[in-house]
Amino acid sequence: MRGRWLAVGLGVLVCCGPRQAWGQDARDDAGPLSSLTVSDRDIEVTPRYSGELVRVRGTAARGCDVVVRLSAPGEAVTFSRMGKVGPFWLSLGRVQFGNVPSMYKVKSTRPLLSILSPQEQLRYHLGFRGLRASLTVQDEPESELYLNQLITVREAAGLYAVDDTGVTLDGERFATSFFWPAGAPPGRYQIQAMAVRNQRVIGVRSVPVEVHEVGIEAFISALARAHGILYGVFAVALAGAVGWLMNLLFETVRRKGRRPPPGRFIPTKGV
Amino acid sequence: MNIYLPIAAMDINVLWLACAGIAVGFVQGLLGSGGFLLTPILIMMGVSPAVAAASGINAIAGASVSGTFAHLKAGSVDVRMGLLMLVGGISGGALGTDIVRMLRAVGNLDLVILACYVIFMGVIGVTVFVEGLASHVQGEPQARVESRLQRMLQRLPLQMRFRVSGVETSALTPFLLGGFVGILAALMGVGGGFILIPAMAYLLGMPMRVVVGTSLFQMLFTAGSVTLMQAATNHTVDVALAGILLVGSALGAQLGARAAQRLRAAQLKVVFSVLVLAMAVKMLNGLLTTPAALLMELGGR
Repeated sequence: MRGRWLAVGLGVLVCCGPRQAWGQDARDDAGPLSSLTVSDRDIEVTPRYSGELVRVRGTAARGCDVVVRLSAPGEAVTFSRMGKVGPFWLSLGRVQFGNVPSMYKVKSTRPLLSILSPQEQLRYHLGFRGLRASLTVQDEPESELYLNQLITVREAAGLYAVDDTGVTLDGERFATSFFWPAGAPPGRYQIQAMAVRNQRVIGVRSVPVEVHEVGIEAFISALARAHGILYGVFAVALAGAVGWLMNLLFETVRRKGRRPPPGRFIPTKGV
Repeated sequence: MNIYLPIAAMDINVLWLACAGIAVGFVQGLLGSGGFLLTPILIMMGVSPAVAAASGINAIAGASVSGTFAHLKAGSVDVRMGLLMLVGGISGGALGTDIVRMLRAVGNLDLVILACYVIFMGVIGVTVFVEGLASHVQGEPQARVESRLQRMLQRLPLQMRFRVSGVETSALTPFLLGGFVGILAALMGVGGGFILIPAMAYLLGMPMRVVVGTSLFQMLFTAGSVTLMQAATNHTVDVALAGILLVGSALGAQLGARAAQRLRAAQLKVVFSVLVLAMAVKMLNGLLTTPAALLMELGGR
């Protein structure tokens, strides 16, 4: 048990420690993009966290259009398929998707259709059409329908978006912003700016952004995930202490407020 | 003023959450029961039903601590009966937690929790409504059902004497009662006082003081062990959610107890039952309307 606590403590320390700065991705060919910065590379999930707006700025050669994409590494996710049985809607089975990013947002200076050829959109996974092409569905006859549904669900949760006019361009400088909703899971994300000219992507520059829990949030979620029973004991003890303290508080208030009532005070019921 | 809930993975307004706790506590203090409102209120605030039920039972465990010890000290707990109930409660809780895990894997947990609440709140709403309207009329048919149940209980094996309660019944009675409550605790996040209290008072004929103490005793330990099992199996207990609710409900219970001295109980019961019925209708409506999408994300992360 002591070893476990130590491990949890160490985990918290590691999570709270200084983060290394992420550099420019070496594979990218920046081309006409001479800079790309974000207002926060390291989003900390504290008890006051309710999502964060990250501003993105950069410079691109004159005459270029700019597309900025926020995405995350693809992962396998399972959804349940809802269907109607009698009057009720219930889960009738599962649909498994592959290569699904937890967040996917694209913003551009002008509509993607007018600045990029369909081939380039597919190649760089831009727009919902580009995203759909990169996703996979496991043995499902109606895969098109469910891919659309997946995008709808994630759009409603504020995790997916395509905004054709979300990037402002002022001479060489461009700017945009992305909102991370509180429901976006901790992990590594990537913001990628692309310079576009003559229907083609001519330069790419990217900056990673990481979301991670710190302090009490990191402690609680690490404990809950790795040591469920221990966390349960902690939850019961904490709730018991809160309940006890509140009772003590009100008993003191009662005693001060009035003369002591005859006999012992017995609360009749808990919640 | 929002805070981020690490297990529910969402942010929630603390003041609204505390108000929800106060409202539940107020009803509790006023009418003597209301803990079953915790989970549905959380669901209506956008918490997933799985996390709402598990965090609700965590709050109930916390709320029963001081009452249980006061009753233990005063000697108004039938420990023998309570322990038998607890054995049942833990078995039922383990079964319930496993049902939660299976339903969650299939993707129908939310539906089952909501459907249970619709039925449950519908029954409570109608019962309290009728009681409030005609509080002086005694139910004849109910008494007949009770005596039939009592005869059945007398035929069960393992009859034994419970000294503190001054009753004789089968050891299976508290075990089965506890087991049923344990399943509900895991599935719905309710403490089960609304079943245990009438069962012990009317079915077994125990004195009210011992009924309340024993019910609290089993509630504390069943809720505590269900919290442990949910945390270990389903990772759905959000301690921050439970803590804030508790502070609110403790405050609300004091206000409710004071209000009860000034207000007329019969009218309150009608108002309360209409509220409960409205919540049940809203939940039923949620089950019947076409969902926004034909896909639903499975489990947590």
